[in-house]
Amino acid sequence: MSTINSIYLSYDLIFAFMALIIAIVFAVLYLREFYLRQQQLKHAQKILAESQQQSLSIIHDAIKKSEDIISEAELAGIKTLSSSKLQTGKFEQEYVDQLTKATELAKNEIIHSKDALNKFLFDLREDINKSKLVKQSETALTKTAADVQESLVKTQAGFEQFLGELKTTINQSNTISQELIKQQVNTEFEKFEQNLSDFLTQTEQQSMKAVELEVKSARQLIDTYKTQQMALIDENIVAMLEKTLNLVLSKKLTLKDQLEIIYDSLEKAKAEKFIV
Amino acid sequence: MANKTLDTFLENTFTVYQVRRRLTVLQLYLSHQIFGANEKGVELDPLDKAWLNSFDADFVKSFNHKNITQQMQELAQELKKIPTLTLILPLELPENQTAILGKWIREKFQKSLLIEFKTDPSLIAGCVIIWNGLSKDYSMQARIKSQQEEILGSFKTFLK
Repeated sequence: MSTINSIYLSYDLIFAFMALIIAIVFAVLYLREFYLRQQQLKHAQKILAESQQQSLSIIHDAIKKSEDIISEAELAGIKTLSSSKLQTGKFEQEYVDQLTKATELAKNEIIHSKDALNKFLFDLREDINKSKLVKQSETALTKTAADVQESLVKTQAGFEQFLGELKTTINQSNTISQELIKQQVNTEFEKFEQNLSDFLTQTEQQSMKAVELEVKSARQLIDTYKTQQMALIDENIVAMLEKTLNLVLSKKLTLKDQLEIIYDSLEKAKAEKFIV
Repeated sequence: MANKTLDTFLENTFTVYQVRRRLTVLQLYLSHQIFGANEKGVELDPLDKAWLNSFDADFVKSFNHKNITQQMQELAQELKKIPTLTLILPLELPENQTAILGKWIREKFQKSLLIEFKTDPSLIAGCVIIWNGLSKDYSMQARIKSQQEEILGSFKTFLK
């Protein structure tokens, strides 16, 4: 009983521990994500600022360059204009050509810088989009974290409820099983007692029968042996007697006694008229 | 003369064994007496010597170089005609007891009779007599066998 309770308690502890570990993991993951997003945001902001400065500097350089070119062209034109009127047409043509070239160059520079600016703006826009995404993901992450936390709480509550229900169920089933086991054990013991007494009675009867049979057969054997021995004795007693007398009387009877018996035998023969 | 010789011969001779032995001894003695006076004497057993000395002088003188062979043959033939009583004894009797028993038997039964002794220790005591081809057991062995039932009965009373 105590063992079963201890087992259930250990199960409770295990579940609680598992829930705690899951919660800790989620918290760590959330914090990590939050920190990473923060870092990305900062980086994006930094990139944005840098890109703005860079674009401004490029524009400034482009404008400056174009102004320089224009100024140089004006100076050259003015020099030419001032130097001679003859060459005014040529100089004017050259001036116009140079001016055109300069304007073309400036235009190209401007286009180039514009392209660079556009590219830069495009990159910047990308970065901004990324930072937007970051903001979105941050928002999503925050939302997800909130959802996770909510689900964690729900899960924890569910686990606790489940554990409580499980504990109750286990206790109930434990009680029921104990009762069942007791009943079964009692029933088995009663059966065992009955079987044992039957077996002992049966064994006793069989043993008695076997013993009686053995005694009877032993008696019969003894009687048979006795009869056989008596028959042997009857067959051999005369021989035994003769042998005994032969051994004993041969040593005990003197010559005189022997002769006496011989004379008696001869007397008897005469009396019977055997020798005539 | 043959009867006289036979009677003389049988005077102290009772058994078949003695007859055979003494015939030979007599033959040798007479041959020596008649034919071998100058030769060295035959060495005889003291009993045989005593038996020969029991003869009177006339008996020895009745034999000469002419009749010795014939008389000895006639004697042997006469001896063969004498009936033999066979006695089976449980022991071997000494010579003197043989003579006493022989005399007693001749007095009790008939004068002209020879005894043949045989030994069978299983008889225990008494004897078995064989006469004219018939045998009668007067030994203790026979008595035990004849009273076997009584003996068994007496043993069984002890067992009960």
